Amino acid sequence: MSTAATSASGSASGSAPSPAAASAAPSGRRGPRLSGLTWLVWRQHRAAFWTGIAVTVVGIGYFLQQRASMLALLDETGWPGPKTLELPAGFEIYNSRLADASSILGALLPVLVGVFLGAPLIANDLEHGTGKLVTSQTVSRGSWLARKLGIAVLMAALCTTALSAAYGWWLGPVGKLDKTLYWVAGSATGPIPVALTLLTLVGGVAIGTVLRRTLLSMVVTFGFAVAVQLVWSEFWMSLGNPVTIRTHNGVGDGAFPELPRAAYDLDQSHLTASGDLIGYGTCAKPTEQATQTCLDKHDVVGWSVDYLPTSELPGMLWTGAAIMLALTAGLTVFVLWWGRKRLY
Amino acid sequence: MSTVMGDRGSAEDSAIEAYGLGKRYRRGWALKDCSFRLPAGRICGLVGPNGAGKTTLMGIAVNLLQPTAGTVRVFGEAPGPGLGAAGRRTAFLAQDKPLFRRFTVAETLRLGRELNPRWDQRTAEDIVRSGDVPLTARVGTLSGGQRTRVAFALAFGRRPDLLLLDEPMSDLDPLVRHELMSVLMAEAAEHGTTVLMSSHMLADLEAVCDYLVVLASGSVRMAGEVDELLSAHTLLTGARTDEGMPADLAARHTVVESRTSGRQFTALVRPDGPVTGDLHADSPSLEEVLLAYLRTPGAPPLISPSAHAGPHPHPHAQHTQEAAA
Repeated sequence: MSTAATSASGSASGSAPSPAAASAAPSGRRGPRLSGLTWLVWRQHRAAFWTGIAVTVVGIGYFLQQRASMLALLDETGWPGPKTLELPAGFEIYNSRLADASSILGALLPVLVGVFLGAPLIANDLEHGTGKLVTSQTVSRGSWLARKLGIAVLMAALCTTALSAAYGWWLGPVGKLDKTLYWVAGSATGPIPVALTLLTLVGGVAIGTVLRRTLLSMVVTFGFAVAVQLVWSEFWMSLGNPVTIRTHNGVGDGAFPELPRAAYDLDQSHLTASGDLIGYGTCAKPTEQATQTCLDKHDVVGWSVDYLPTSELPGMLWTGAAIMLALTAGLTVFVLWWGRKRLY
Repeated sequence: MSTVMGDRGSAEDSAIEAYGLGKRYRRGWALKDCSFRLPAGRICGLVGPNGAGKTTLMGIAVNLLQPTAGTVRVFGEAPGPGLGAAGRRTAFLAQDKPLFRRFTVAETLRLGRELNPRWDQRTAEDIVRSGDVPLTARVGTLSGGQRTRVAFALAFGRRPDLLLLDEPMSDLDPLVRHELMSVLMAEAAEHGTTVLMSSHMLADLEAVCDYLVVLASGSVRMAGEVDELLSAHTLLTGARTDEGMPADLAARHTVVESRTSGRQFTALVRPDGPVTGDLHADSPSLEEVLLAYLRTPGAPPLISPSAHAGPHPHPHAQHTQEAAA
């Protein structure tokens, strides 16, 4: 027996006495000592997990560095000015960086996690027979599936929560100043990246468990992840309760009602004397006279605007996250049920 | 008429008992009315042509598959999920010998240690070391023989009472095959492991097995001690008559198979009483017996008493028993 092989990592499970217990596993030397299925799952997917950790660390570093340089710019320009909260010239670059980071966090990351961690998680073991290898040890199929899913979900949740928090901290100082920043960048804050990632991840696992082929599962999971993104972007605005504001001082220049700062205007119409709404494009005529005639004909008296006040956003995000996490839980139950009944 | 055989099997513990076991896939029955018993402590060959249901039978015994009909008991217990007593005492080596290709050999053995409460690291490492397989090598870089050796180590490290091997040697060259068969026999002998090993090549098994279960088209054709199965048969050779074989032969003995070539006929029979007439009687080889049964699906199955699934066999098993008697 080589002495190099008799290093650390003895039987961590504390089970069968094995005097010759030797492991040349280099992974035993770093990180906490894992045992049982947890060790197996970590060892099998360590490349994916370390990639996730690295991306998280780099991402957080980038967010913090961007926050610092953004605040430096604002300080330099004497923002906030005594009278105005308008963001200074030169801030556009941070606007676009914040928007890019929000797409990465809210769209790209969930898709990647679903396709590269979720889809192969079980499918690869079913395709290559290693699932049989594991479940023919003294391990039940249910606990194997649960541990795999549990560790993957835990890792994804930790990484995305950390990234989301760091991003929120970067966005924080300027997040409420501007409609785009607040609603577009803000839609990838709080629980949303976590919920989108977990839903896509567990969806990928479910697809892989049923299809049993790694590559096919990855392709189908990509479709699923894109569908989740499309449905979410179509649907999430309707989670809020819009406020309607009506004016009765005409629709001329300067008559448009002033919305609260960073409010999101959903819909705007002309209000007639009878209380009906007509589309504001109805009277968009080529000449001013024709426009006025049209407005008079419809007896337009002012504007009616539906908007979402900023106070709606947190509730919308948490409601959306709750819906997605409920779906995730349903998919988890499905995977475990399928695994017990139909895995082999 | 009866095929009298020793009765010593019935007192032993059963490693496997199957009653009327059946498994239907979408394309039909892979296993049907399969009843037999494997006493503990035997090295048993599971023989049959490709598609005979060998893999299906093993899959059911280790709970990878659910039977459509019938029951199977492993050491008296239904094969439950991995944590049940039957699962704990059984190790299974699937045909493709799946291992994690990116794991090192040491990590593969650690897998065994982490996932099995009674793990024998010394046995496992000795099997690996005796083949000069480096512990630090990745499994994916090993040769077929070395990989099989690692898979054996993983199986024996569990200290199984029953080891099921599905075509363990099919992809190995004769030298490695011989070497690994010695490892297998040595370990099984040392630990008193019951082994059920499938193959479609009888030559693999003839030297090492003392028990045999022959499957064809999803049902048991023959089961029992190798010696008893052999001594129950006689190979008769004589001059052919118009019908090929003397008519009274079939009336007095159980004819498994008869063939004619030129002016001669050859018949494999289970004699019931002394063989008379101008015939040459010979002891058949195991291969001759096996081939005769596989070629003749209509021949009555032969189940030796120690291989009878009892005490309350499935109705179909009863039927088989009568046909054999």
